[in-house]
Amino acid sequence: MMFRLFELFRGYFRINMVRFLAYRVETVIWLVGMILPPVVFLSVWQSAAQQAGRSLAGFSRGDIATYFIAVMLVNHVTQAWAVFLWESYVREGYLSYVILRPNPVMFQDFAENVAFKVATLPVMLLTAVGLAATFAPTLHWKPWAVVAFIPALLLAFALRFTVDWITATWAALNMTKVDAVNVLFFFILLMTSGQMAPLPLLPRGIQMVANALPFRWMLDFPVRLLMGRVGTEEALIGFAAQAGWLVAMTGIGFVAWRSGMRKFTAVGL
Amino acid sequence: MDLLLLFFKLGFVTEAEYRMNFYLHVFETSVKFITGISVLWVVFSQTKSIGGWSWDELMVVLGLWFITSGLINMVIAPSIKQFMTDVWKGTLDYVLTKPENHQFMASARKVAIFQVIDLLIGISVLSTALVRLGAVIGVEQAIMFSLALFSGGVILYSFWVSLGTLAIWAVKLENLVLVFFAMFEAGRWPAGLYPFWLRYSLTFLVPVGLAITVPSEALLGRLHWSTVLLSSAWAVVTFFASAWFFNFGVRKRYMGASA
Amino acid sequence: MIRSIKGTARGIKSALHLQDLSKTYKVHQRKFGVRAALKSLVYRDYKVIQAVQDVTFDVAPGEVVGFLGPNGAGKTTTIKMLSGLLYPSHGEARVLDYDPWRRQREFLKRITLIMGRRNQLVWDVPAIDSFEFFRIIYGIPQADYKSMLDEMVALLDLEPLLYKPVRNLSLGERMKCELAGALLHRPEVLFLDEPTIGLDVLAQYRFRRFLGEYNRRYGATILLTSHYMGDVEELCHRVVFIDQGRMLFDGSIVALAERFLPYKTLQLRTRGGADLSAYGEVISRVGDMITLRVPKKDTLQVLARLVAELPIEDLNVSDPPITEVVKHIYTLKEAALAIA
Repeated sequence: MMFRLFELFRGYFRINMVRFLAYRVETVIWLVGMILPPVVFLSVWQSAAQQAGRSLAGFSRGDIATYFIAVMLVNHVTQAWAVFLWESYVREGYLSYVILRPNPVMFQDFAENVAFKVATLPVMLLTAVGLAATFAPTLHWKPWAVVAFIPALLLAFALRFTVDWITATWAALNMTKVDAVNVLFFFILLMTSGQMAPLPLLPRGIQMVANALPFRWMLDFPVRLLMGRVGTEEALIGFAAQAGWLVAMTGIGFVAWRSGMRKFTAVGL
Repeated sequence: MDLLLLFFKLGFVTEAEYRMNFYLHVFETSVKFITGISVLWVVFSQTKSIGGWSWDELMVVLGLWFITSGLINMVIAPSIKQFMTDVWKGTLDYVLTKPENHQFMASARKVAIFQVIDLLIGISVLSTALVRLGAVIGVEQAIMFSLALFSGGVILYSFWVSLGTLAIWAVKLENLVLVFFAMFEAGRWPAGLYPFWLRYSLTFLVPVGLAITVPSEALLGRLHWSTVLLSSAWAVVTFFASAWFFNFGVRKRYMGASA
Repeated sequence: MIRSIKGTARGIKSALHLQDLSKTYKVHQRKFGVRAALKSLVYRDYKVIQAVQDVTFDVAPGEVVGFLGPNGAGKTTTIKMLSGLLYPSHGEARVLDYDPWRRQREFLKRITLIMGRRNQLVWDVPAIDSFEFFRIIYGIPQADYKSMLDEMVALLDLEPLLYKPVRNLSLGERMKCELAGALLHRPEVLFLDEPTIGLDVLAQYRFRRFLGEYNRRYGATILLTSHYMGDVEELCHRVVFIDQGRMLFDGSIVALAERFLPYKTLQLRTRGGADLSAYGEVISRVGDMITLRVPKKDTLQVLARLVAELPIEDLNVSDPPITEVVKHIYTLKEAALAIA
């Protein structure tokens, strides 16, 4: 059984790898869109810190650089794009075939996701080195935090992938509303995940909202853990929150998928 | 002019096709607007000014950003995307056999009418910011602003026409369009905040800086005439260059889908 | 080693079983113009479309059935219900004794769906990469995969196509690869929705010949829709004809002609341009070659009269081509609609 799963994963991984290599230029171009936003916020916050002439909520200019370079990398690893994938399935009339394959659709998308990341990771790492040379980041490692970062990163990925999957299932049923949902999703992610600023820099109100939502555990938590800015107690709370949200979202995802497919097969594709 | 009106009308009919689309677009634009304001608000909760720009001055940039983005998304981007599709499918033949100016047809053929909302938001943000700044805009500043904005618009337009024409050589360009919008997002902030490589690519590679930062500076009276004149000259050059390029591409290189 | 599919399907009486199968959709409709567009912002009209209505038939294992009907008759909807993409509104569909809509893994491994207008091969990479991919997702053992691939390559002449990106292939070449890819897991039931659309005559011929061969070799059940009657004539002994979601006919091609166009076609050459309308309906006259349509039951009688009364040089009697039959059914329908 495990071997079969591994075989399957290898199959999906391989075909997607071949695909990304055929689309080299497009893939690199797509990366520009992933690199630019962290660089913009990095520049903005560094200017702000310079203007203020002090560190902001304990973040010096160098810390800000470290934070956003790490955000770029963690964001890359945890990124999920099932919504786009499904839209292209529908547009290209490929969805029927995807559904009729004798493997779970989620598994197919998961393998595609991992293949893309592995294919593009070298470019991202090179970019990170280039940014480090430009923005002078500061480093304060704590060995235990770096070790703890690995499971935090994986949990963050699992959580984000699941949430994205729920959105995609819903969106595929409501194609005309996809853009609107994306815009809203983008807004919430931007404000509460740590994409635009480390959470301690955000106004109290937004921090409270962020605490009530799953998104900060997808980005802000692993990044600040890596930077050694999270205490042991906060780290444990973080892991618990990640695990709790993951369980809840998996449950919701299961229901969403079931009812989504029921509706699919009622209205046609 | 009649033609443009007709395109507008057709645009309205196609968009109203889906009742939801209208409400959805209002919703999307509002969220985009709230996003823009919120980001500024968060940054200004930590500082009074950034890179020498105050809150209200950045609202001027945001307003102009919405206006520019509204204009691009209303007419230019949908038409040029359609042009790219036409090149790909070979249906450009239908455009070329119509007795109208082909470049005009290619760049103003499809109108996404709901983008008017973005324009309106942009204008209101801009005027509110200006009132709050109490900017007494002199005649000179007004002229500089108009010139800079017009030049910026022309440069962006020429950029898009060239991008579309490129499709005649390299067919898969949808991704370039995506990159344009990614870089365009960076135009929400004054280009001066960025490290030099990004600043220069925002000025020359994707001329967002010229279209947004420069007119904002003109309005706030921070601009030398030399920059305005340079921008205008650049506009003239790019306009004619892109028109030549378009004609060259369409007349000499376009061979239909079978090519 | 070739595993016979007949063996696994032996226990089943019918490969496909449809009982009162029905499907309804709700569609939003709007009139043209700015005013109507504005109006639809406020409220919208729905129309219930009965896409498929009480379709009932059975297909035995190994049978090849042509599924005919004009555009929008409900053919694709039926095929989608049978392959598990759509859930029936009413009635029953069973394929190989499975409920298709459950899409169980074992079920999906035993069927295949080919749509002439849609690709499942990955567009920008060579077909062989997609094939390898299918091998893994269908869990085809290496040995079976190799023998099946070799067989396909030989039958469809794929060798020169395998290593080129799919986007660089012509439509005919691409369809051959699509077909091969869809059959690698050796499905027992094939749903083909206009598989030959857009292909040239030779490519169509090869496609059919291959399908026929596959059917003979593996005893696979095939349900085929097509607008090219050549496909149907060559492959299917039986046709099911539906229109506006309802079944009009189920039987052999010969019976279809008997039922809807019970005529014989007489082609004859005579000296002098005699008026033959007294003998039957004159369909065409090219030079001194005349084509007549005569009711089937009168054929012998008319022939006798013709031979006796006219100086005939050449004579040929045939059934009307199936294209004629189908065209005739479509026209009948239009006439019926005009009256209603």
